[in-house]
Amino acid sequence: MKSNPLISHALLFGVCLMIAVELAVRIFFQDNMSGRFEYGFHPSAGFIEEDGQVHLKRTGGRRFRPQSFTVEPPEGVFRIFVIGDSVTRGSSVESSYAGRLAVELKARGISAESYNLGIGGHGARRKHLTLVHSLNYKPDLVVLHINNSNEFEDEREFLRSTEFNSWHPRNWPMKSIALRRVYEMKTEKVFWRWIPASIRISQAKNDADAEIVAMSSEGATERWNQRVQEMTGESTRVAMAKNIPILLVSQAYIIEDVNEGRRLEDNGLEKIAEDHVTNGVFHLSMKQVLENLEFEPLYADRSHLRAEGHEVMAKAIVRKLIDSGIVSLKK
Amino acid sequence: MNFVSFQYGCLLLAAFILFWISPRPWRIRLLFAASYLFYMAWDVRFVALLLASSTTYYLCGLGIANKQKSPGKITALALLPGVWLALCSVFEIQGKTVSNEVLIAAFSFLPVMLGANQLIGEMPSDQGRRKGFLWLALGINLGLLGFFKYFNFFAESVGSLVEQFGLSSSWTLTHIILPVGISFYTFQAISYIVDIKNKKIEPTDCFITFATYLAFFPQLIAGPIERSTKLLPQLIAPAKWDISHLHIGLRLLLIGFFKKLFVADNCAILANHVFAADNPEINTAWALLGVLAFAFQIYGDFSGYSDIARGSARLLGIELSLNFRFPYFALNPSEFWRRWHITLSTWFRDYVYIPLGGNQGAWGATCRNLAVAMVLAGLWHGAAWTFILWGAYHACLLMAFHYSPRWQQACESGRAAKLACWIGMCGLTLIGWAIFRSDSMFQFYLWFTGIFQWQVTGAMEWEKPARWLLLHIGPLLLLQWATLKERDEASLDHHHWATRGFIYLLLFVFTATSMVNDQEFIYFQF
Repeated sequence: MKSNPLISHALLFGVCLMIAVELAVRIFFQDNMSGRFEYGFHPSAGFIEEDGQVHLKRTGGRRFRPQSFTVEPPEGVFRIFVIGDSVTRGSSVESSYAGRLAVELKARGISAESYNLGIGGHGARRKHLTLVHSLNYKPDLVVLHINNSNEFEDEREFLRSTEFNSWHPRNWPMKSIALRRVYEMKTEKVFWRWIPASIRISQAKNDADAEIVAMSSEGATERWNQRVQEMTGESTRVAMAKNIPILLVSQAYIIEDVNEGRRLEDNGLEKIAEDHVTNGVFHLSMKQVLENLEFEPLYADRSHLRAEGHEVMAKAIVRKLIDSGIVSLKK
Repeated sequence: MNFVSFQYGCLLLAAFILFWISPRPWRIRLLFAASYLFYMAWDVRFVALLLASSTTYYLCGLGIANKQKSPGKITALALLPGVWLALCSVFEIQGKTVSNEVLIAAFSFLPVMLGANQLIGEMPSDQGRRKGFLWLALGINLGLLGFFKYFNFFAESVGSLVEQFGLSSSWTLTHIILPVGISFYTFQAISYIVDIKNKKIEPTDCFITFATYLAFFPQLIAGPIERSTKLLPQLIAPAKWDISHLHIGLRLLLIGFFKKLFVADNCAILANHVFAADNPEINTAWALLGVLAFAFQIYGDFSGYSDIARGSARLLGIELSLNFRFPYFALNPSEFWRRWHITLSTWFRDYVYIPLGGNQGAWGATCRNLAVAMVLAGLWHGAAWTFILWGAYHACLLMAFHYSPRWQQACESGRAAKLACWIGMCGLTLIGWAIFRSDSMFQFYLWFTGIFQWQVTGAMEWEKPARWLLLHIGPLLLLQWATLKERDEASLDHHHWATRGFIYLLLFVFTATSMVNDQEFIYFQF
C-alpha cells in the first residue's frame, strides 16, 4: 500500500507557487518595493544614490516627484530643499512654489537650485525623517511647510509600519511583500472606494481606525498641533545643529465664516512656527501673504494652491530670503 | 478563546503534539484537560455548570442502565461544581466573583443528586426507574438552559403582557450572562441520555470520557451537535496516527478560516449597516443587498466555524459530523433543512418531530408536529420573538411543501422547473434570514417596507457596495462549484494535486489579506 507523503504534493505546489511569486516581486520590482512597507518611516527610502547623483524616486513609500541633483552641491549655487505635503508637492515641480524658487532667485541674479520634496499625506513625523536625510546633501536652506491636516494619516501609516514589523503571528503572512501589496490594494483601492464612509466609520475594524478616530474624536486638532509643535522643534534643532537655516512656512486654509464669509485660517500653525523662530529659524505665514490678496482664485480647494498661488508664495519666500539676509548671508 | 486567535492556535498546536506523543490511555485525559482549559478561557465560573451537566447526565445514564454508582462516588462527583466555584471565589480567578447564593445553589446539587438517586434507584419497576432518571437529567439541565437563556425573555414578555392590561409588573430583572455553548452541549447530552433510554447505546462508565464527550473543545461552543454513537467510540478508542489526519485537518482549517475571515466578516460590513438599529434609509437595493450579505455572512460564519471545528478535531484523529452541504442550492424547504445545520435539524427530527409522531398521523397532527419542532428550533437560536417567528415561518414553508404535490413534482422535473424552484427557494430563504437577523419585529417591518421603496431620500449609492459583496461571495461560489459533486463541501480530493495546490494558495491569499476584523462568531451567542 502506498503511504502518503508528509507534505502533500498539493500543499508543496501551493507553497512553491507562493515562494515563486514572492521571489519575482522581490527581484523584478526591487526598486518599487524597497522600503515600501515602512510607509515613509524608512529613513532613506526614495533617495537613490548613483554615480554621485541623488535621484528622488517614487519608491519606498515616498512618492517624490522624480528629480535629480548631485550629492555634493555645485560651487556657488544656493541649494534649497522644500519639504512638505501635497500642498508643497503641487501639480508639478515646475508649477510648485518649490520649483519656482530657483527661477525667482535666478531672476534676481542669484544662482540657485530648488527641489520639491513634498509628499502627499505626509505629516510632521514623516516630514522630519525626510528632512533629516536631506541634510546629508548639504542644502543652504530648508523650507519646511508645516500643516496639521495629515497627522491622522501619519498616525495610521505609523501604526501600519509598526504592525508590519511586529512579532505577532497574525502579521507573519504580511512579511511577504506580495501578500502585503494585495492587502494594501484591497484596503485602499477597494474598501476605501467601494464602501461608503458612513459605513466604514460605524464599523471601523481595520487599520483605517486611526484616521476615523482622528477625524471624529474631540480635541483632535489640539492633539495634532501638539505633535506638529514637537516635531517642528525637533526638525529645527537638527537643522541648526548642522548650521543650516530653516524657513517655516505655516499653512492657511479657506474657511466659511457665517458672519465674514470666506476667510483664511491658520489653525494655530502660525503660533507653532513663531514659537520656534530664533537665530537661523525663520517663519513665513501663508495667511499673511495671501489674506490681503484676492485669495480664492489662488486656491484649488480649501487648502491646495493653484499654480498662480504657488507663484505668489514663491515670490513671497524669495522676498523673505532677501529681507532676512538668508541669501546674502550664505552666498 | 475565539477560534480566530493566537491563543487558540497555541492550544490546538499543543494539544496536537501532546496527543500524538502521549500513550493512548493518556489521550482522553489530555483532551479533557484541553477542553476544560478552553472553556475556562471564556468564563472560569461556568465550568461549574459544565461539571454539573456532565455529572447529572453521567449518573443518570448509569442509573437508566441500572449501573448506579455508590453514594461515595456520587458525593464526590456532585461536589465538583460547588468545590470549583468555592475555589474560584477564594482565589478570584480572572477577577470573577461568586455570590453566596450561587455557592449555596452549587452545593445543594449534592443532596439533590444523592436524594434523587436513592429515590429513583429504589423504584420497583424498571420502566419507572428508567423514566425517573431520564426526567431527572432532562429536568435539571433543561431547567438550567431555560434559566440562563430564556428567563429574562419570558419575564419581560409576561411583564409587557401584564402592562397591556394596565397593571404593572413588580419584579425586577437581573442581568443573566448566557454561558457559551450551553445550547449545544445540552442538546448533545440529551441525545446521549435518550439513546441510553431507548437502548441504542450503553452508558460509558468513565466520567472523564463522558465529560470530554460533552466538552470536546473543537465543538463545545457551537457544534456540530454530535451523537454519542459517533463521538464516544472515537474518544474511547483513539485513532491511530495517519498523515491524512494532518492533511485533511489543515485543509478544513484553511477552508474554515477562508469562510469566516474572507466571506463572513466582509459581508458583515454591509449586513450590519442595513440591520442597524432603526435604519430608515433603506431602499429596495439596500434591503436586498443587506439580506444577501447576511445570508452569506451567516453561512460563511457558521459553516466556517464548523469546518474549523472539524479540522481541529481531525488533527486529533477525530471525525466530526458534516454540518453543511451546499444549503443555498436547495430547491425546497425540506432539502434546505437537510443541508443547513444538519446536526441540529436531524436532532430535532429524531428527538422532537419523530417522537411526536412525525408525518405518520393525520394532516393536522403532522402540521402540529412540524410547527412544534420548528418553533422550538427557532427558540433554540435565542430568546427573541424574531427567532420564534423565523421557526414558525420555516414550519409554514415545510407544511406548504409537504402538502403541495406540484412543488414536489417541480423539484423532480426538468431544468427550467428546477431553476424556478431554486430561485423561489432563494427568495424564501432570504425572507427567513431577514426575520432572523432583525433585532426586533419593528426592524423586520422596516426592512420589509424598504423592499418596496425604490427611491428613498438619503439612501446611499448601492452599486459599489454590491461590487464589494460580489468580490467576497464570488470566490466562495467558485469553491462550491469545485466541490459540488462531493458529499463534503470541503473535499477537494477529486481534483489533480496541482489544481488543489492552486486552490490552497488562493484561499490562503484571500484569507491572509482579509482586512483585520474581529467579528465574533454569530453562533457563539446561541
